[in-house]
Amino acid sequence: MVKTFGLEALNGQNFQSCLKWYNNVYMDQFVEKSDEQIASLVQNGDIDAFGALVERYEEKLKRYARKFFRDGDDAKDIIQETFIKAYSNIQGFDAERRFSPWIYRIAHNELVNALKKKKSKETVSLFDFDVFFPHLVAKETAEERAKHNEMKASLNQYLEKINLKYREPLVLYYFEDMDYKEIADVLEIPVSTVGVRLRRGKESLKKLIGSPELI
Amino acid sequence: MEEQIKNKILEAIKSGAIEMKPKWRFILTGVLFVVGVILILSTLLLLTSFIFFSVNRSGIGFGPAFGPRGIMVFLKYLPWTLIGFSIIFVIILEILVRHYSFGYRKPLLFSLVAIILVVITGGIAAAPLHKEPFKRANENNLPFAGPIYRGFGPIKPDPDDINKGEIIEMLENGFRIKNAEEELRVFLPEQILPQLENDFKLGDNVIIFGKRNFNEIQAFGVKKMPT
Repeated sequence: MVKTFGLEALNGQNFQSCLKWYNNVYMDQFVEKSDEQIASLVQNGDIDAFGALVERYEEKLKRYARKFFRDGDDAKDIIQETFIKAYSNIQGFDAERRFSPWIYRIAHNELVNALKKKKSKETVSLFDFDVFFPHLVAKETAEERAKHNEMKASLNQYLEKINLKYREPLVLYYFEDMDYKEIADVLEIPVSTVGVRLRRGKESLKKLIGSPELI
Repeated sequence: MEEQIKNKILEAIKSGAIEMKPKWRFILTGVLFVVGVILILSTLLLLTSFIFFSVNRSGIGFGPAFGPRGIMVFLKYLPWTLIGFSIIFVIILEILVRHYSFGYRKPLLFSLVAIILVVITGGIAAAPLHKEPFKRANENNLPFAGPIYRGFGPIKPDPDDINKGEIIEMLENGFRIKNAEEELRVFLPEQILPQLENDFKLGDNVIIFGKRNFNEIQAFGVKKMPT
């Protein structure tokens, strides 16, 4: 129905207001749906449903990319490329699994590629010994949960100084609210390694701010 | 600003600039991955079972039971080329397995140990299956695998380290053996001598680990070959 309005024919203000109307009316139907349900619709050929996914993830991915690239254009390129790849590969997404780690995995790959292209000193090594051995994963205590926001604030300040290997799990855990399993799926590393990297990241932060109470 | 990326992408999709890859491509990739895993695992099982077969057949597997000297002989004659290929295949298999969530969610050590255990257990279990093809290969009656069996199958230890033969005469301090090429006199180490008559008898096929001096061997380890 919406497509018959011929959006291409509209210009300027008319186009913007029509777009707003379109967004309000058309996108409303996705509000109740989960990411996975919307992804299924996209798989079945509903292009506009992909718009709903872009809307849901644009800000999140922007926030994620900006934790690694200060330059807004770089972050924007990463997000754009992430969405393009997500659409191209959406048929490879298993709707039985969670959509969020899937799209963040694409964003992670784009981020790694962008860092390589920039010949940044911060690169993700192909092999790490912390993925080799099992580690004990300590669950977050109530005290740690209480300090969650405090930790987030400190991380915002010192994040750039933390090694990329530890920074990414910290970002996914504290800013994207992912659990260990989801982070493991994004980074394709063992769940126990996520715990180790989070702990080491927090230790790095502790050294940077010199406040043992935070950890 | 926020609308920009979304609109740009939707426009690109609608104009056909961005295309969705068809589902069959992902299914095909998945199938190829599974086929790859099966093929590599089968090759690995074939290789390891062949290694166990060769080691058993040559008798070098007894070496480690005879102390450091035996271990050195064992290591010297292990089929390192085949072992090298097996290691490469284990690494490839590990890389393929880590593509799946059940692979990468656990520490690498776990999946590596699991692969090695499966390969070693399967290799030991499948080793006897090489007996018949090996026999046929030696009779030039195995068309394709024949050269591989003949090339890699027999481990040929230096007579200065290992000798085989049938006991033809029992002596006070050892025995005399005979094989296709020659007759040899074997001097046994003192710790074996008390069990000489109980453990060995005429007609036994034995493998002898020890330094050879012309037609005499000063053995440091002797074992009856399995029939």
